[in-house]
Amino acid sequence: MKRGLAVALGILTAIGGFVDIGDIVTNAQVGSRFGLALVWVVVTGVAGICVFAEMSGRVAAVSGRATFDVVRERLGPRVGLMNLVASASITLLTFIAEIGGVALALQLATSINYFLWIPLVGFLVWVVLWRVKFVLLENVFGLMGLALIAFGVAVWQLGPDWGDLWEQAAQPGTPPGESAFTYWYYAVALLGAAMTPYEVFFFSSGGVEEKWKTRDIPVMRANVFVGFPLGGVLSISIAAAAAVVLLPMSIQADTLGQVALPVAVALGKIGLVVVLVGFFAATFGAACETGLSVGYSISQYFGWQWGKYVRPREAARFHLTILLGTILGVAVLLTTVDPIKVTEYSVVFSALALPLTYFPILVVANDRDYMGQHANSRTANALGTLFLFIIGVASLAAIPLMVVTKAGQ
Amino acid sequence: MPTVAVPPQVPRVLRLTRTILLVVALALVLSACVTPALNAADYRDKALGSAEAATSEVGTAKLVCGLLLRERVLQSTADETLGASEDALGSISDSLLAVQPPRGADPIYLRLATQLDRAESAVRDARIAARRSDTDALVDLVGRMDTILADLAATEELLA
Repeated sequence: MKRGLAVALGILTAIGGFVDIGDIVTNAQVGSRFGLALVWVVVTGVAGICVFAEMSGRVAAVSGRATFDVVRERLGPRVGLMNLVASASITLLTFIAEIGGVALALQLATSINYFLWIPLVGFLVWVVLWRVKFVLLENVFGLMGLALIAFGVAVWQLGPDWGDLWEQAAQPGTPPGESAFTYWYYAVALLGAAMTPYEVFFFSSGGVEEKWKTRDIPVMRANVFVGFPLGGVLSISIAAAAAVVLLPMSIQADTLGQVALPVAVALGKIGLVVVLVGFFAATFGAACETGLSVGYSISQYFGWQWGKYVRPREAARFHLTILLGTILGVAVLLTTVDPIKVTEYSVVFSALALPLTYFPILVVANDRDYMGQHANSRTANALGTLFLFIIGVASLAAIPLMVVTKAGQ
Repeated sequence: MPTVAVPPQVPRVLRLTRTILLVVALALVLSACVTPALNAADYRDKALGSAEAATSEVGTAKLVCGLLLRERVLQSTADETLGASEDALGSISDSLLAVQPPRGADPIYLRLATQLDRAESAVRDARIAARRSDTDALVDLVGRMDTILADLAATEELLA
């Protein structure tokens, strides 16, 4: 019974914690411009993140060590450094976008300019990362993030032509008025948003923090293979709400306020309040996850003591890294850079860095010296290689598509 | 025997990282610049993009006004969304005006500049009316925005 509850809680937090500012903004933009013509990318991205999250979770459960720790040892400091630079810089960019997202959500709820919220949000994130227990942090924001289910309820309440939506999803193609380049640019962005590297690092580092053993692998798999896909359904519901309300009115969702409007149309003020809570929880939770991930990745590479389960005094460099990351994030946002633009760039650069992040995980999870009988099966290797090929193509196409489309304009 | 100073070698990883950072910086610059219109067709493309972006912002403002009239949106969210649309229209207008229209493109320039001006003014009025909870003004503005949207649609058709 207790184990069943733990599994259910893990799945629920995985669903609520799956969506972040990148998923919210990119899915709404895509839904408002392409309808459901890019749903296949979300499905592909969710399948990809499931494959690699399972591998990194398995590595954590079997070796009791986190990803960067093992990657550096197995592939050497140079490849490890490349992996670190790519992942940590993208995670830092995502961290900045998440802090901006929290401030924007608070602005929508209070009418107080988001610049005034940014320092306070940065401070709160740091306090939470300093003081709040890992389990509490993971569960509270994960569960609150479930408020984004309001998008799914809104789609149902709007009573769309389900046949038309299915046709958009099943027969993808470039809609009139959009170029093929823009279509593929957003395909890359969606893949980057769905497969953001920090999700895997946070997941596996969390596994080490919670002292997973091999007996925990089935629970970990349930979280990944049930929770993540249901989180993907949340992402698709955001795109569907935009496709039903915004697309017919030629409205492109470029702000968080525009993203929320379909819910207001369908469910009124109560629905809107629920969505704003969801925005806050999703972005604040992701800000904590990305902030921790920056600290995790750097500390694990350099072999410093890290983690939320040791006292801050014992992991001083880990906490200092998080503090510096938070100060940098707040400082960047206070230069008046648009948080939505930061989000848009973070998902595309995330796609650029994906192979550097995921290739080492595939290598380590396949190494029998580390993994013993829990090394990758043939199926896991085949899927890992397939997704590595897909993200490799996306990575190569990311920058040229960004330049040609002027970042999706 | 004289010694030859050997320059310190930069590790390959650092060189690769430096190259990647340069590529990323270049991509950011290239994707964020307002490029000049080299010919009439290029200018038409830019004008079409501006008209589409303006349609999106006016459509947003109209939707928010409708939601306010039906009391389905929070005052703060309406206020912020209208403010963002107003700002966006200002940027769209500035970006278009920053581009030198080529010979023969004056009719497009004048038509769109006027429409963007009307759009910005309507959205500004909507923000003011929303803050005052002035429902009569909001009803009028929905009608005004319908006309602006129709004019923008005609411009888009002309430019497509």
